[in-house]
Amino acid sequence: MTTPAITQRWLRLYTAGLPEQIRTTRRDEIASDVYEQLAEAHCSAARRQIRREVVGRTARGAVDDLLWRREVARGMERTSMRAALTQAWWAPLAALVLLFDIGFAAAVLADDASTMPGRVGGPILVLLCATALAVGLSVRVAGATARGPRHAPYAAAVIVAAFLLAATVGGAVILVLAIVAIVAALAVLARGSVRSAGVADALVLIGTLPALAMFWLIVPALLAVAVIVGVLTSRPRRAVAPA
Amino acid sequence: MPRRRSGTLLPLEVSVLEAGLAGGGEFHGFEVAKTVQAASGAQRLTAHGTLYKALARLEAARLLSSRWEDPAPEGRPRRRLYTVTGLGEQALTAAHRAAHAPSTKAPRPGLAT
Repeated sequence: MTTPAITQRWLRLYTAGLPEQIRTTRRDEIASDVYEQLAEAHCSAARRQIRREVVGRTARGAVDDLLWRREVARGMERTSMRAALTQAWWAPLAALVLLFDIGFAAAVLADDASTMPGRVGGPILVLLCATALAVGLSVRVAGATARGPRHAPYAAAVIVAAFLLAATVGGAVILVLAIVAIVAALAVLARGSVRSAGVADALVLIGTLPALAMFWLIVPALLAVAVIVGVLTSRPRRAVAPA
Repeated sequence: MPRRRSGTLLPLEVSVLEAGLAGGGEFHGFEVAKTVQAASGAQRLTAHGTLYKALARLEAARLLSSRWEDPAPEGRPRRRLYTVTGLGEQALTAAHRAAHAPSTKAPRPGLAT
């Protein structure tokens, strides 16, 4: 006695992307329910009738399935955010260092008087550090729920749009906005492929280098030191998904 | 769908708890769907999504506990067995009491006899 194909397909669809344990639990529970219902059929005609009823139960519950999925996803998000805030107290400081990196790169780019050294290479290096920091930070914040690959097409579209906008419109403000968009999109792209907490920590440390290099500005350097201490003294826990 | 007020049970959740307590022990999803159908006189069984969402919420609120059959039985999928907890019994009693409580609205002047 097998579960009707429509019920199986719907199950696969609305549980797609959820953690394996939650998916398996839901599928096993529905498979058991459907089996028990089909087991009540005493002849093939009754079995056909019950299969139709099973499909009807699936269809009538579709909205609640989607609401359940949303609740599970929200629970995972809350759990991972809570884990990030409690275990990575340095995360807000790292976000400030990230802003400093982006602002630093933008300042060098917008320096019309060319008084700053490394007008081209400098910002690129700083932005690479910013990207590393953003990726490392997002991996730590996202915990076990990193979802890079699903967002890859959108991130790629953002990068292309930002490049086109910066190339066609120009101007310092547009350039800074395009850089921020590109850094964010690269972070989303890279997050899906970075799973190791050790690699994430290393990326965060790389991201603090520009702030350390500008040590005479004092505040960014102090923030960078605090982030380094935080990274080295805290270990990530995997976010626990609700059942 | 009725919106839940904090600390209150939805009608289906009350029915699930009642069905669970009526059985006197562990129950599985399809069993509770049949009991709820019989008790309410409904023509159709509760939809999968509606039933298992309610069970998940009751368990998250610790009004139910659950375990999987172990070892897995031969010839059929293993069942997830639920039990109404002490907290669940208390919540059901409170829900019954609230349902039968007289209205707290003050009578409008002029209507009192």
